[in-house]
Amino acid sequence: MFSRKVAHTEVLSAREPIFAETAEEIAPNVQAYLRKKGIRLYRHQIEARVALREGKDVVIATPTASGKTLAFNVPIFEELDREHNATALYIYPTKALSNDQLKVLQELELISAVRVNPSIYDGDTPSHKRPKIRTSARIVISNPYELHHVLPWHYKWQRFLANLKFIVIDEAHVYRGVFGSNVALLIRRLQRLCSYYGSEPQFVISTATLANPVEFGENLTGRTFTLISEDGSPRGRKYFVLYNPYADGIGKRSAHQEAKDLFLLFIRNQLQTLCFAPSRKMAELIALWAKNEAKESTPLLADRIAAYRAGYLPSTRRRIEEDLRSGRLAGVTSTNALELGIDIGSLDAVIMAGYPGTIISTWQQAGRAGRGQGESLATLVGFHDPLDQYFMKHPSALFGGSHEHAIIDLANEYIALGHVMCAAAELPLRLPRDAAYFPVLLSESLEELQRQGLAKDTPNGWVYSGRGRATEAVPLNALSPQTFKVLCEGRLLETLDKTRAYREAHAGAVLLHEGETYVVEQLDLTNRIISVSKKNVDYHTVPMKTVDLRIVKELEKKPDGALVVSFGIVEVVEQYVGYKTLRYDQIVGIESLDLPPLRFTTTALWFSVPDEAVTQVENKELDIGGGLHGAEHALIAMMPLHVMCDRWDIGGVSTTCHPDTAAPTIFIYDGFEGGIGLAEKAVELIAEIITVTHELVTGCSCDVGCPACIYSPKCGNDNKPLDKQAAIVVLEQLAKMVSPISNR
Amino acid sequence: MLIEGHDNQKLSRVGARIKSRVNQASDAADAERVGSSQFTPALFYAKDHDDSAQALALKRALIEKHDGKALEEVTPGTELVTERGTCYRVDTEERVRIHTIPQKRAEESLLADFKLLHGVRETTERALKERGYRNIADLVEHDRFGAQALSFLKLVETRDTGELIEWVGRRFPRSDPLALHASGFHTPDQLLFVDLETLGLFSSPIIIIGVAEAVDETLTVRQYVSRNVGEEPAALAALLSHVNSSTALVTFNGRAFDVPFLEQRLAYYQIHGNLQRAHFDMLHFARRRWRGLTPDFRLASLEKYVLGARQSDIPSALVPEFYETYLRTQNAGPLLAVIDHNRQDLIALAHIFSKICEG
Repeated sequence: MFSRKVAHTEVLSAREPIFAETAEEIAPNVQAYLRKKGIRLYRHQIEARVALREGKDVVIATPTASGKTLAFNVPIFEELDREHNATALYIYPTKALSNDQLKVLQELELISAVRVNPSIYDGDTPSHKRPKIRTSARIVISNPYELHHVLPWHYKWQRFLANLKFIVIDEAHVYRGVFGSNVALLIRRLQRLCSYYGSEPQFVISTATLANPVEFGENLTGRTFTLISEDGSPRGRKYFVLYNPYADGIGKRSAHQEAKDLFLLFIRNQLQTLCFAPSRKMAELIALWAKNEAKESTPLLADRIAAYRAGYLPSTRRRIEEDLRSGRLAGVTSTNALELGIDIGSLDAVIMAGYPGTIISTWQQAGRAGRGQGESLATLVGFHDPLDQYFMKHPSALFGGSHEHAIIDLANEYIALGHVMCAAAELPLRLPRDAAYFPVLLSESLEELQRQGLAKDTPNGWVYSGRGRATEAVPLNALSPQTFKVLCEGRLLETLDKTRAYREAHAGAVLLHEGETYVVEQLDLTNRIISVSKKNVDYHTVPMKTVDLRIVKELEKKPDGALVVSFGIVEVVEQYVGYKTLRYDQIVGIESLDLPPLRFTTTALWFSVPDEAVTQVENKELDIGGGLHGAEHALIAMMPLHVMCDRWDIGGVSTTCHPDTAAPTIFIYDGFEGGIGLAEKAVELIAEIITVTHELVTGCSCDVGCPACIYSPKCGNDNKPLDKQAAIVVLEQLAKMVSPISNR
Repeated sequence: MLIEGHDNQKLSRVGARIKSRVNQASDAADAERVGSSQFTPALFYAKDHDDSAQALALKRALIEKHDGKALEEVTPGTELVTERGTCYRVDTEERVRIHTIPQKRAEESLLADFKLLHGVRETTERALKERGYRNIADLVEHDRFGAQALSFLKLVETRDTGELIEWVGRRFPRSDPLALHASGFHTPDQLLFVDLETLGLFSSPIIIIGVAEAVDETLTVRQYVSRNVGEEPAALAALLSHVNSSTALVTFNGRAFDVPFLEQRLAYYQIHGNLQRAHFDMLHFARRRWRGLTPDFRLASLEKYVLGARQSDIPSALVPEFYETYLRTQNAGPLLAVIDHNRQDLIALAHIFSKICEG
């Protein structure tokens, strides 16, 4: 019953471990740890140690579960053992990962007896513990958000910074695009302070497999890296299955149901399984369905199934992680919260319900399966949208294709200006000395800050002269600051951000939490409180929304050849108009909602498509809607390499007739409140972007579209409608209109 | 990756946006402080329409009055030249008699309370007194409390007021009058009253460092004014010239605000100076003393309700705006109001200290 839907099986062959001998003896203390844990270092771990001992900066890009952490912990502990004042800073993207790393370091400290007092310093650290950590910890674990706010207090960290030998940036691939550019400049600020206190720490970057690890490391830190990517760890044989519920072209059951079926099948066959779902709700639902079904046949198994996601209390998450490690849990469904290196041990099988959106994530998630040298299984369940279906039909795009580039842009004015201001608030900036840290835009930024009264050129250097805290005016990432509390009989269940609250916790919504169903009684927008009651219901709800884009103000109109590209402020309005009630996949009811719209203001570029294109498309009996949509996707796909961002930083809308332009129009906007200069930069490069996009789609060998051209991993409409031939016509007309690149 | 020819229009758009975000962050911080129960006294309800309208009218009047005049013309003072550049010093004197706690009484009170010793509570204290121990000095031979008693006694004998305040603070709330008793070990001329006017709540430039010292019945107020942001280091250096090994600081919320702020600015300019010393933060004592008598614990309110009326004044929250107006227009008027505000706060601080010590 299942095999008919297996679209492809890729067998990743097993590999014996590759060890290496150390030329230099490992310090006895650290050796004791390795002996006690029965660890023999693999070749890549030895290589990392050698490079670090030679004083090099190292980027480690070996796969998940290859022992990356040990590769840097060994040499760092050796150095901290040798040098009794030396310190190290570990930067993790999430608090959960920090907690995980803390346990590892504490054990290392305990067994090796190298006193490093590893401590977490983040938003959860109580204020009475902070002074002690600042004055005594030799390994501090933190995250970029905390670091951003800590740097202005550098004088309290004098001891730590003056002795800083290593900066570890783990899971560094997270820092790409706009977020990554912010982190890169944050690192420059940190380096400047280190140099002020007399240290020059070495960098260790640990990352998922990327297309450009060395270049990425250089952009992130301004240093030159030695790459460690030849994995020496052993691997069992892995079967990577592409599973297509729509193999028959119809798909009687939804992909979610199929994912649940596979999940149950695996755990019934004694395979400990982790199932990644695309949303919190789906993670909960798949677990809930699986539990209910297991209850009827094997009740004991039902208790060994759980869901895992952000929003749970840390203690609950710790318990689930522990139960996975110990094997008490047979199957866990999860959001991508378990994609990063939280220690849950290795599993027998991984299911991905839907393509995770990037090749990087796909391999990270698949990497969770594989216990020692035993065999393991990874299954990608294809969803109905064309992107997933493309992978089902073209496995080589997944297995032979290259990983994404991690892009960082130090020349983004919006980001650079903010961090130059923060730096000036930390220590007076001096030219040309500090140009080493801010090679681009430093003097321009300072001049502009002076014009705004935010900095002043004084005999002591450039000094911050603003009123507010500089760091508070500079967000590192697009995060929703408003949180809503979910209360059940006065007890706090969890918190949700605003968008999630509208989407998942409107009145009447079924909220799933740790496998229990709660019905929302009230969504109080003023006090940001969601009141729920615990009710056992056998249905779930799916919201229905409309998205509109409105031009607020046109700031620029830039003719490029015959094409007129506009740049301005737009408002994206999401309106939740109602919700559907579903029992499994069956719609059993539709209710309307009366919620105010969610408004998101940003900057966008837009242009109208010429009538000529529309006429041609219609003459060829192609779909203009699908053509515009496809052209929009392809343009967005080509933007990151031109404007230096991540694909997930930008969004787009295309419409056959927009009320504000009265013409078929394509909009491309920044995914950050207020805009962050991406569309703005694309306006300058529009001729190049359009030309390259046209070449790409025309030259693409696929039939109706593929992820390399018009399929988008983040399309809000499931990649529908799309018409590749129409997209080619649209792009061809656009390319004719813009001035040829060679003339520029 | 170097991109040439960045157009100014784009940068100015980015600049304007960051300016508005900085001001938003500043307003949000103000609102948060005022809204919370533990607000800083340095802040005023600038959101109160009347007050702020009045203050703006005052600003206009000041600007008109001092049109075209430089600071040096309207406020007599001296340009101070230091190794770290220049700043402007405004000197004034005020007749204030500072009461201090008599040394003997301070010593008796500090030694009388056995609860200062770790492990002693009401019952133990009673028991000890019943057994004939009159004060901590009597306890130095005691089996259990002797070591502690000896340490404490040494602090009292060596007049280590900084450590005494910390000791009391570990055993009692910060507001406990016992901590203030340590001030009795200082002569009035060792007390340095300090009050800052700043552009922001943290990590932004200092506008004025005001200090006051009492000699006989005269309070000498010296205000170090940054006529522009570049003059801040000189003002910091000038402050340090008032601090020597026997100096004790007297502030209003200085533990939470003024001292950390100064330390941050000293570090910012790489100026070495130690402000970790005996420090009497009058906010805590005033809270305990006048709880319920005033609507809040801003210096200005205490002055109004406890000491009698205050002259017309600008709200603290508008200080940054007045200063920025001065920077922009170079009209001395708004800065004059800030200088005046700072002086009044310093005098009020001295009065409050004196009044609480007087008992």
